[in-house]
Amino acid sequence: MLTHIMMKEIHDNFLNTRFLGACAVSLLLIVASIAVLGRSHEDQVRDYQGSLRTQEDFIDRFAHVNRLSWMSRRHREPPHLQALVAGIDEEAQQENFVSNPLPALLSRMDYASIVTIIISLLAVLFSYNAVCGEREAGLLRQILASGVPRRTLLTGKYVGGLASVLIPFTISVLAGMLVLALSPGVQLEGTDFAAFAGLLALSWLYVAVFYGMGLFVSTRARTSAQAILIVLFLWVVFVLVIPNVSPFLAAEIAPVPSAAKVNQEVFQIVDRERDAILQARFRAMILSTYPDLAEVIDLPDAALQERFAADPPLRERFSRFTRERDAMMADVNREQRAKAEKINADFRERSNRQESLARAITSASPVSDFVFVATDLAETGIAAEAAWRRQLNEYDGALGQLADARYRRALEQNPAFSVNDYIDLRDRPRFREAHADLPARLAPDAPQWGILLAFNALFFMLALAGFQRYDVR
Amino acid sequence: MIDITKKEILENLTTYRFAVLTGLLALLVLISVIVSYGDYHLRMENYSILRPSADDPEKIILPPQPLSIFARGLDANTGRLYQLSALGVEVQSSQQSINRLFALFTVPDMLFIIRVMLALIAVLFSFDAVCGEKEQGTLKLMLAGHTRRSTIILGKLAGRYALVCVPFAFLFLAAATGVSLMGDVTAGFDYWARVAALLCAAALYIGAFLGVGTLISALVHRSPTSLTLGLGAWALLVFVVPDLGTSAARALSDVPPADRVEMENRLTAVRSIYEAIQAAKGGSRDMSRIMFQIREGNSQVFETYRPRLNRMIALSQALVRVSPSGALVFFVTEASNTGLSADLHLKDEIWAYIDRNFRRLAHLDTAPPEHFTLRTPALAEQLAGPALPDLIVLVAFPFVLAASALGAFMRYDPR
Repeated sequence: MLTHIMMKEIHDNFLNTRFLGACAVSLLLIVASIAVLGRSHEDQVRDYQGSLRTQEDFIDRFAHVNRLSWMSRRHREPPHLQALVAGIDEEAQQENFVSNPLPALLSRMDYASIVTIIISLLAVLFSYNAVCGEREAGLLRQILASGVPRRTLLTGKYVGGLASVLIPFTISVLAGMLVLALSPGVQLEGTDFAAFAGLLALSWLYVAVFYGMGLFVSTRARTSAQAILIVLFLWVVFVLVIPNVSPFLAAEIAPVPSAAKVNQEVFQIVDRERDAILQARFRAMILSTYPDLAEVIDLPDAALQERFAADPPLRERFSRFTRERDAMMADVNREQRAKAEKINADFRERSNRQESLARAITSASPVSDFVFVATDLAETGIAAEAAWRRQLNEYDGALGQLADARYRRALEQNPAFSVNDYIDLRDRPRFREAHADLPARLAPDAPQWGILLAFNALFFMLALAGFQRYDVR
Repeated sequence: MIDITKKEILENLTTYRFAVLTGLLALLVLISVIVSYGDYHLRMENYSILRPSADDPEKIILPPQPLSIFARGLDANTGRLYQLSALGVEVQSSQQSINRLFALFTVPDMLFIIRVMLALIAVLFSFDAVCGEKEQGTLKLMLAGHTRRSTIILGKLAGRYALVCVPFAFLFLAAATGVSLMGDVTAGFDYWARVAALLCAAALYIGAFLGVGTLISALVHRSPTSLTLGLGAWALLVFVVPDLGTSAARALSDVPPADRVEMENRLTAVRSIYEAIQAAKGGSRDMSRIMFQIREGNSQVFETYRPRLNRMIALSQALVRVSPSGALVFFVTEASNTGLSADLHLKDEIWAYIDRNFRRLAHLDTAPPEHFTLRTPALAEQLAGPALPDLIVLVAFPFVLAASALGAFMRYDPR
């Protein structure tokens, strides 16, 4: 019986021109977006390789200690699945004076945004009248009169309807992936295909949430007109409102002082305040311990040397004073730096708290859950970027140490060797981004998968419960 | 016609649909204004801390625009601190939030509400204008009563237009008034003129989407079909055309990425300095020659890069303006002074300033510093200049669509 109802649903949909139109649109959109972004990706890979070559050649030929950090500022290798999930748009961050302003104004249409916006809209459009529409047409009474249990009927509608959305969708995605895999400039590896499979499973789960939501609303509404309004209201809240408002809402609830203010405070502590403290302690030291040196310390160097020659104990006493003064200065520096570090740590902690809060609020929307998992799978998200930055910092540190060691060795052989002189770094280790393997990428997003599953279960149960009490007249 | 308009308004005013959509709109406007003002306030605080003193002409920072509360646009980028030196311009990132979630989602400002929500509401208020009436059977009755078809459709359009536009205008003006009372917003004539420009743009934009909905409604016979097509048109015009247009322009153009241009400039500078130091071993270095050499290299890169970037921006704009949504984004950000021309103009001015003050920036002479000034263009100049094509698109769409809806309704079979 169940399969019968399922097949009827699928059959009905596939004979519907509206449905076929929607399938054609989704196929066209997904393939077009992947083709366009795939082309961009090829350009980016070429640019990245060109920049990398230029940079490595430059270090080979001109490396010197003084400006090494200027030579080795790096860009990230474009992630392979970027054409599917664009993620954080580096261009939109506008980090350079010559940055193209357009990406900060308009976003790109990638597979992820097509699924989150267009396909979810299609899913609710094909489920909102599944129950109330059949009631209006008078079909529901007839079907139930023939002895079909309500639970079976609804399950059949759910599975059949969902399948008829997911089958053409999957075909479109596979077609898009084929376009990407066949592009000459795109190199996909085994893990990329595994990540793609994960992405596809994620998309199914996501689309099913919205299909279930439409079905649930359909069992609570008397007419299709009422159902569509409620469904669109929920869709707008989930898709357009919660994800975009959450980061800003979190910023209101858990405010973080402006970064400029923190920098200013830190500067105040390690610079102005430190100088004031140094001066005060210096004066106190002179007054209490070395009053006899008060008239000597301001003398110019030559005069001081004369005095020392005339008075050897003075030289002794003076050097004790300088030792003590240096120790005092180091103490003050350490104390002030510790104070500044406390402020910085507080700032970081508050920022992290804000980010976790934003993440928590926004996880209430399936869109955000989808975006978090998808960007982590494609390595275009927050975690991957942070990991890359960390690795790069480590590499830069190691490279700096290597250069320093070479420089010092050269200095031993030739005391005139300067920081502006060439050092041979041609045998340096090259930077290679270490990619997390798939389980490691997926592990932090377990809650997101859980929330999507829970949404699915919730809407399906609610639809089932709603349909049990549905008045079919 | 007045009667029909009145009937449309009264009929819809009491519906569930009007209550739900207007309530949602009000809530969104409230949230949007609160969070956007919070964001503006933070940027203002940053600005007041980072604002350089008059004797530090090597730093340039612009104050945030008050209208960025409604259309954030590029304001957070334009308003960064630019540190000038003979080697070029360094963009400071210390003002940016380190909360990376902001980079993943869109800003929910008033522009977003207009662009996405108002368009959706307009479609939802118009998809059943003709075919809904036909399904109820009232269309036949209306036409039997000697009312002209053009009167009916124009009356319907006017009535439904008022239902979407009036609540929004009221909410927007309330929000603008609320914002104008805040301490760190200077709300003079310019502010209100720009608010009025935004409101007009929103009114035209609503008209365009109401026209889309009504046109579809007059082309099909069942309201579910009309709704599906209307939502499809909405998604296409609001998301697909602008975003795919931007992606396509980026893919089609040959503009090198900014970080590559920046890297090449940096490496040129390092190399010039290195070679000069090596060449002058023992002797004295001619710093001014190195500096001029670096500057020349940078200028060459900048001057070949900028025309290409401008071409790419023009291409994107042409592709994106096919949709009223794209035109709206450009128009509203221009009118709020947070758009492309504000950003590009600032960068050109900074570049020219470095050219004029190069000797001082390179510490080659100690001429008194020139004060960097940037004149904010008046609204009228912007409307007649960079925002004009978008204004034309925004004006054309509602009229063309309303005329098409009229044409379609003339041939509509009311049975």
